Amino acid sequence: MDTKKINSLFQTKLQVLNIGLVMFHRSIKDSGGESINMDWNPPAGGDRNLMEILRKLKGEK
Amino acid sequence: MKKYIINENRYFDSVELMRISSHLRKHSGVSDAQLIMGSETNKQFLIDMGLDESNFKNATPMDLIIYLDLNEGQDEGEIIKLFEEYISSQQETGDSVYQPKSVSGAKKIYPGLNFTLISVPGQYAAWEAREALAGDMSVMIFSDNVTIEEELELKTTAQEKGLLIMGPDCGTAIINGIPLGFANKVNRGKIGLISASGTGLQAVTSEIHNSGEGISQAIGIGGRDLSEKISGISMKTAIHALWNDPETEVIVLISKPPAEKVTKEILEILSGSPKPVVVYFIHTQIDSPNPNIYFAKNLSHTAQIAVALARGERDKKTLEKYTGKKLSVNDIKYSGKYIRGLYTGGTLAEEALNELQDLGFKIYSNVHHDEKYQMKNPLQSIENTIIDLGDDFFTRGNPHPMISPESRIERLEQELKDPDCGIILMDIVLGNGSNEDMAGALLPTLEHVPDSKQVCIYVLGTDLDFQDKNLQISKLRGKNIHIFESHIEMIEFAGVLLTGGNK
Repeated sequence: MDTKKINSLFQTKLQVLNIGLVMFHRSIKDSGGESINMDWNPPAGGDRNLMEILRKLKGEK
Repeated sequence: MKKYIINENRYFDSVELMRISSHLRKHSGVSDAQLIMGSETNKQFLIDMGLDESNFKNATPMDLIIYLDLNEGQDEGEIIKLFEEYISSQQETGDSVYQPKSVSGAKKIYPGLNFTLISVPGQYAAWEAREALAGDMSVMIFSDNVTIEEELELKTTAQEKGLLIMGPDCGTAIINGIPLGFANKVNRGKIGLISASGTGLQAVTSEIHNSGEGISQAIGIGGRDLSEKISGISMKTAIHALWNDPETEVIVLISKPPAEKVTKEILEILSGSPKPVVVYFIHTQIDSPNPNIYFAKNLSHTAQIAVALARGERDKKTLEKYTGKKLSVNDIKYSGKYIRGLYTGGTLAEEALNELQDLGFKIYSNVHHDEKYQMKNPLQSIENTIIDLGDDFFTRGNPHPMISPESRIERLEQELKDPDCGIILMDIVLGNGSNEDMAGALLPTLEHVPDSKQVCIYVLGTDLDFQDKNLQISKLRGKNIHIFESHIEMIEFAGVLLTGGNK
């Protein structure tokens, strides 16, 4: 099993993209980690049908 | 005076809204407050509460519904102002850098990003995880309510790309020394862990730290990873990653009982392990002649074996033999007949339930596997009862009891008044995300433990946690209170009390 990418992550400074609870972004920074907080809103305005259509357009399964 | 306010196109996370709702309910002018996004499930929740649907029927999942029941003379504007102040403090990131609006946008602006932590509502988590995998990042999904089909799809994609998916419903991880989600702050060291149980991982990492050793990586994989359908994709990937990690010398695996087929597959992989592995599959009897695999009996035992292995001990027989401490219960008296466990950590509740049953007690619980002992009404204890207060029954519409102490304080007061209750077991789980002062919150109630009862408290955490384990323990000293830093020691102590004729 190829785990090169994961092992390379273990040897690099963690740079987190935080999507969701802002308290996790603050905790990472308070622990000396790097985090960028995403200004998140539900995709497709939270419309499940529209999300499905967008997925199909992107060619996802 | 009931008030309904709809804020159109204003999205907030449910965890934040529950915290604010509970904050507003403490105001003397507020009889009730519910702040909730307008999804179909949430609207049904409000209808079930007896609220008039016509006031929020047209709200969409992007609209915030504010329901307030105000006492006579209370100004609505004052409460709304309080809400706005609180939400802006919750949303404060503590920095002024640009916040991207999409994963692909984030990668363009910050190309160094190498990991994604997702805690959005479950129905959107897979969408964001796909984007993160497309951006070649490993992912931790804290969110629950992700379907098992989505989990399989994400983990298969991650495996093909050589990436790691931790979760869904992964509450805890420590990657490169950084605690993620509800994790404890621990020293770095030689022991690498992979766990399908959040509180289990917290308990073992904390005990390893408290014993003077440290953690290389603590990888959460989500509670369903070792199910037949997912077949341990993330655990298998993580085992190989820790084999190849030069910092990791000892590996620990923790899970609730896995599917039989998956247990066999994992053991087959481990038979080729170049590093010693400690396995704790809760309440699962496994035997293996492999000299490099060690089986633990409980969470503390798991930590003890890992620490001994990190220090060079290799004798399998000595390490696998578990003997509890000799605990003195002389002069401890109580009169109630039964034991009551009020837990916030699911794995700890399960360990208490299993261990007490093994000691021969009949235990009722809201999370019992045997229907015969499942509580019909979790609000009322029956004889010996272990309650998981983090179960959906208690958390629907309320913050998790590790964050907000109210539900447990209420239950503790109820048990302290019950003449049948003799011993109370509790956990205090410290670390990021947990309440800033759980000991302080419980203290006013714990100051009045009557002589008819004994209260045992397991404090999970470290001196490096922002709550400081030692400070929390020092607050809890009191009459008829016993503090433990090992969960199994607390159970064994309670077992001796229950059987030891101390009444």
